[in-house]
Amino acid sequence: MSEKEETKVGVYICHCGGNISDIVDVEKVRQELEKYPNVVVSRRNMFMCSNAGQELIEEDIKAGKVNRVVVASCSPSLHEMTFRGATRRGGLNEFLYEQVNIREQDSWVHSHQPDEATRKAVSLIRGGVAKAMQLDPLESIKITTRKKALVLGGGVGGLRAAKELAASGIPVELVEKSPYLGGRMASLDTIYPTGEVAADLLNSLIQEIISNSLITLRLNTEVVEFTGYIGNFNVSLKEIGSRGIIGKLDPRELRIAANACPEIIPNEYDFRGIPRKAIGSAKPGNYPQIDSIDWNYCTRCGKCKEALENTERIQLEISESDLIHLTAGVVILATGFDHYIPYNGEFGWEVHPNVITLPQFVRMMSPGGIFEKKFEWHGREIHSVAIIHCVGSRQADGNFKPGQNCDGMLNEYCSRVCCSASLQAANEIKERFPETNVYNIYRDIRTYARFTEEDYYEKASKNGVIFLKYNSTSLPEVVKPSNSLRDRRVHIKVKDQLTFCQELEVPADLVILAVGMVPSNQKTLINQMKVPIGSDRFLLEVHPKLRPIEMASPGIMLAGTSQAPMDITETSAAASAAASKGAIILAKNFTELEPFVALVDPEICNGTGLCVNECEYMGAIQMVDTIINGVTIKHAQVNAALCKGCGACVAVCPTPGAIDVRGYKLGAIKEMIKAFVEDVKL
Amino acid sequence: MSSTAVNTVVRTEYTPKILVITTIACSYPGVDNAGQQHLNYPPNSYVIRVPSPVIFPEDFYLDSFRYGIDGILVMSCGEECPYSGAFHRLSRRINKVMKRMKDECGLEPQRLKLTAICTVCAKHVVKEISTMDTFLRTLEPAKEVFRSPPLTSAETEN
Repeated sequence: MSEKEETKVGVYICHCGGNISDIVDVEKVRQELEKYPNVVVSRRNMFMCSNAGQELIEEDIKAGKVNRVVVASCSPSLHEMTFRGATRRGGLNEFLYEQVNIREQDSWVHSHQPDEATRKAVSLIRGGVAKAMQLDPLESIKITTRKKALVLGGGVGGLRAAKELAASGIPVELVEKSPYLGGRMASLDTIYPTGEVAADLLNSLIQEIISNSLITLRLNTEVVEFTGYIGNFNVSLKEIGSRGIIGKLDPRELRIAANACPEIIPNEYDFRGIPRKAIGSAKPGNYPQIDSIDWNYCTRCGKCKEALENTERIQLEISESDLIHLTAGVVILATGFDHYIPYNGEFGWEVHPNVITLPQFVRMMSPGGIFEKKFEWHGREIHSVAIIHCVGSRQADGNFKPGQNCDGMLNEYCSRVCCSASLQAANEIKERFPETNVYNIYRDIRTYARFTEEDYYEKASKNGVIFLKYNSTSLPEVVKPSNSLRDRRVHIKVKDQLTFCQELEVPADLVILAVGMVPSNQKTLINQMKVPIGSDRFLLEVHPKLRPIEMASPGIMLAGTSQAPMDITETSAAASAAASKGAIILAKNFTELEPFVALVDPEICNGTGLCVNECEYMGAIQMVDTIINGVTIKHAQVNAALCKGCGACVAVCPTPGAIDVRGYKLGAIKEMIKAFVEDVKL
Repeated sequence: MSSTAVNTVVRTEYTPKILVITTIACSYPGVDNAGQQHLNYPPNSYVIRVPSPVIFPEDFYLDSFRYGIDGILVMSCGEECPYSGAFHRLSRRINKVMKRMKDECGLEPQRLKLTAICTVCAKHVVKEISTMDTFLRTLEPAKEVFRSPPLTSAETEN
C-alpha cells in the first residue's frame, strides 16, 4: 500500500442473529456510520462471522473499495482472529483491522434502553473508525528457536516434563537444586487413590530419565543468571558444590561421621521427625543412592573427616566450579511447593511435643519409620489420635494468623490434597493399629479423586473413624488438661457443628496437623526470570482456561505445584501439558510473536533515555547511535523480542510520537476518545 | 422531572460520559463477563482496551477531560498485572493526576478512579460504573468546569 493512498474505512455491523439487532437499531447505526468522515462502505449482516459475512469484507478489499476494516460485533476475544483472517485473505495487512464490541459491551448490558444502546453503538463504532484511521500495517515478529528445553526442578513434575520432551526428540537440561531427584514425592509412602508405593512409581520414572541420552542431569545446581526470550533463553547455572563424599561410606562409617558432625539441622526429609546432621545418608526414595553433605549447613570444621582417620573419601574443599552457560528455547518451571509450617502455638505446634504434621506422620509410618512396628510416642502406647484438617489452608473469615513460611500472609486457598491424605492416614492407622481411636476434626471434606471419591469416607466410617466438624470462627484448641499433671495427653476442644455446636473435648496422645501447601521459596528465581505471581504467591498463568500452563513471558511454562496446590495426578497432567506446549513451540524452528511491542521513531526521538530507565525488562530498550543525514544521533531502540509491550516507556516520553506501542498508539487512542464525545443525533 | 430533593441537585438534563480504561488480560474480559451475565450498567460508558494503563502519561487524563469526558475509571489488573512494576507505577501516577486535576484544572479528583478488576469481576464492574455515573450526575460537566492548565512546551511551539 503506498503512503499517499487515501484511507478508506469499511464498517461492517453484525446482527449476531438478533443478539445485537433485537436491541440496537442496526440500520440506523449503519446509516449514521455511512455519513461519518472516511467511511466509504457501511454494511450490516445477520452473521458477520459466517462465510458470507467474511466474504463481504474480502470482496470490498479486493475491489479496492476499502483499506481499513472495522467490524462491530461480539468481543474481540471471540472473533478478532476470524476477521483478521478475512482482512488478510482480502489482500490487506491483517493488522489494518479493528473490532468494536457492541454485544458484550452494548446490546447485552443495555437491553432495557434500546435507544441508548443504539446511540452507544454509533459512538463506539466511530471510535473504532477513528482508531482504524491511525493503524499501520505490521508484521508478526519471527524468532529462530534453539531446540533445547530447560526444566527447573527434579520432582515428579520436572521428571515427567523432561521425559515427555525427550520423547519428542528435544534435548533437555534437567536442573535440580538439591543433590537428589524425586522432590516431595520421594518422601511419601503409599499414595492415594490407588495405594501405590510412591518410591516405586518414582523409580521407574527416574530410570527412564537417567537412561535417556537426550537428558542432561544437573544435580546440586542452581540458576544464577537468566536473560533472553522465547527461543533463546540464556541461562547461567552454577554447581553449588560436589556431593562432598566420593563413592559411598558404609553404614558404620557414616554413623561415625554423623556422630562427629556438630551441625544438627532441620530434616527436610523426615520433617523434624529424627534430627539430622549436615553429613547424611541418602534416603530410601532418593536418587542417586549416594550420601552427601549439605553445604547450606556444613561449616567445614573437618570433624567428620578426622573421625574417619582423615579419609580421602570426604572432600570438604569445594572447588569453585565455573558457570555453565547454555541456551534453551523453552523453560519449564517445576519448582514445586513447601509444606506449610504452623506459627508457634497454632493448634499447639511447638508448644506440646505431641503435635506433629501430616508429612512427618507419613515418614513415621513408612518402612524404617518409628511407627513401622509399634505405635508408641515417647515410649507410651498411642490410644488416641486426632487429625486436624485445613491447617494453613482456607485462612479466610476467621481468627487466623500467618504461618512461619508464608511471608506474613494468610493462605485463603484450599490445598486440595490434605482431605484425601488425612483420610488415608486415618484408615492406615485403623488398619495397622485397630485399637486406636482416630478423630478427624475437619471444616469441610472433599476427597476428590476420580472413581474413588466416597471410598475413603466409607472405609473410614466402617473403620470407626470419628468425625467432628469445626468452623472458621471457632477453631479447635489444643490444651493440656490442668487437673492431671501426670497425663501426657493433650485435649482438643471442639465446638462440634454436627451436634449443634456442642463443646466436646477429645483426648489425644498424638495430634496430626494436616498442613497445606505453600509455594516453595523461589524469590531469587522469580526476580531473575521476572515472572508474575498471584495473590496466593504461587506462579501465575496467563489465563486459567485459555492458556493454563503458560506464563506471561512467552516460552516459559508451568508444571505442577509451582502454580497451585495439586496432587500427583494433576501435577503429571500439568507436566505433560507443559512438555507438549514446549514441543509445539520447538517443532518449527521459529516462533511468531504478536507485533504489539514498542517502536521508536528515531527521527523524532530526542535521546533523553527516560524510557530506558522506566523499562522493567533488561535489554528491551537501549540507547544507540545512528547516522542520519551525516549527523550522529543518539536515540532509543527497542528489541522487539524482549519488549513485552506494556507501554511504561510511552508514558514517560516527553516527545510526542517518539515512542509508541504498535497497535496502541497514544494518538490513535486520543482520536477514539474525541469520537466518543461527539454528539449522536438519531 | 426536576428533583425535589433539598440537598442534592441532580442535573437530569445532562448525561455524563464515562471513559473506562481496561486491560487485555483482566478487566476487558471482566467487562465482557458483565455482558455474558446480561447485567445492566449505565450506557454512557465507553470502554477502551490497552495492554496496561501504565501506557498513559499524566496529560492523557487531563486531555480526556478537556475533550469532554466527565469521569474516568481505570480498571487495572491490580497486583495480578502481568507486567512487572506496572501497577505500582500506575497507582503512583494516578495519585499525581488527581492532585493536578484539583490544583491545575479545578476538577473534582474523584472523577478519576483506579480500581482492580479481574476477568470474572462482573458485579464489581457494574458497581463501579453505576457509582461513577451517580456521582457525576451531581456535578457540572467536566468541560464547563475545566480550567486550562498552563500550556506544555510542545503546545506553545505551535
